[in-house]
Amino acid sequence: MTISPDQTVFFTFGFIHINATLLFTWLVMALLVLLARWVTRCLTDDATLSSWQNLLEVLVEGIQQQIRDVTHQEPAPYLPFVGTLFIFIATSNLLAIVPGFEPPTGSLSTASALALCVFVAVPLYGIQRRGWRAYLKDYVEPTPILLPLNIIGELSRTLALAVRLYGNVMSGAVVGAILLIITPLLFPVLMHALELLTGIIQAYIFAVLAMVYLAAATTAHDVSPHPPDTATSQGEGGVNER
Amino acid sequence: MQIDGFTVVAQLINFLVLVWLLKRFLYGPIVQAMTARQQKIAATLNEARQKAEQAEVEAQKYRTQCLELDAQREAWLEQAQQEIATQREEWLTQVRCEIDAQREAWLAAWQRERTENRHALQQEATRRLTDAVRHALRELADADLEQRMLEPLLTQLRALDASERATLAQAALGGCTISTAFPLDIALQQRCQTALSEQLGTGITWTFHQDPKVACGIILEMPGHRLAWTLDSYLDGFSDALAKTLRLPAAHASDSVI
Repeated sequence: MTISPDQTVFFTFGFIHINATLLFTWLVMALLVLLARWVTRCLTDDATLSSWQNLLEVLVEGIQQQIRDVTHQEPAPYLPFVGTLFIFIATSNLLAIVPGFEPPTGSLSTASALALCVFVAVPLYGIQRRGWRAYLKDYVEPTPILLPLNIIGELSRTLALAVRLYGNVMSGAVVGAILLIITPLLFPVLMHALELLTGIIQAYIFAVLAMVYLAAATTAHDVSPHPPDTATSQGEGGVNER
Repeated sequence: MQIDGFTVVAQLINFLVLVWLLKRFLYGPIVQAMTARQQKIAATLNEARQKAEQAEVEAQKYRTQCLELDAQREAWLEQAQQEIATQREEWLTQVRCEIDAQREAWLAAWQRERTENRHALQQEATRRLTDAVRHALRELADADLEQRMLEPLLTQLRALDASERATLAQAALGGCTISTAFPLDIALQQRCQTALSEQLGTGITWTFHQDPKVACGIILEMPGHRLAWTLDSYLDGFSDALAKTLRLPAAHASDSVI
């Protein structure tokens, strides 16, 4: 039994080694792209639409609504990034019930890569929306003394993102495997059902936290000593997250 | 728990590729379809709203027209009723006049017919009575009676004044015809000629003629003149008097009916 799919290597050429993480990631990517391509090939804007189109529209509309609720901004710029985070993590976690499939999100490397994407995307969206000066000014607010703490906060939350996702998915897979050895009949089924729920929740948490970080970066913070109820609604998410 | 650097980089690239692919094949088309549907629904709703407003305007217009039509219909009905009442009254008046005229005409015709019938009845009664009397007298009459009737004729002739008698005498020169119902014997003819010649003069041509129509009496006829004494003259007078007597109550009766 391997704890991480990184340890399952299928092919090695120099420093390039194709492990189960990459293989199943490509599998998930192919599945998502083909499904999207197949469904969107015959889209219609009529009142009657196919079940698959309905499903994807519900999914996309739900993600847009979540982005709108969290960031209080138009969801169009964030939809591809946040939506792909949620869909990829959720699909990977849901496919964990397929025998032989190892979810790539159970790899710390994958979780770290996704967290790094968020870590890079946050300043990119912030600078794109507010400019260099305004974005970097947040790191010395309310006082420049807090600059190191702000930087550590950025790093730590990225690390927390990665470890949270990895730990939950990996623990679910490991617990399932251990329970399969101990009580192979009924209990693993319940654990797999719980794992599905956990996987969806983790995908949701990861995407929502990414949205919160993006909202914090793209929204001007009100750090003046006013009462909390006078703060703008757009800044509350970022301030509370900090 | 270890992190593979190559895997991290590869997963990072994979994720970015997946973002691009899903943006191209999923989010773009889906969002575009949803936007198109929203616009379509919005356009449909807008169109429906405009149609509803237009329908409301049309409905208001039709309601107004209905009210106007109702008012116009009421006015027409009232006018028609008035015209009907006027026409009815006019027709009733006309019918009453026609009925009165026809009644008057019928009453007049009835009265005239009644009068004519009464007259005809009176005439018929008079004629029958006269005929009966005349028949009875005719059956009672004979030659002796006619002989005796010569005297009244002579008396009548004598009663004439001189000028009239001269006129008759002058006329008698053209021929004188004596008509009786029964034939006169020779002696009576002679006596009649003698008596008449005494009154009218001599040289007169006498002709005796028997006429059954002469009921009872004698008729002396000359060119242009006629002198008679018969029961017919009495009967004619009786008939006229009887007719006058019968007509008088009839006239009173017709006056009372009218």
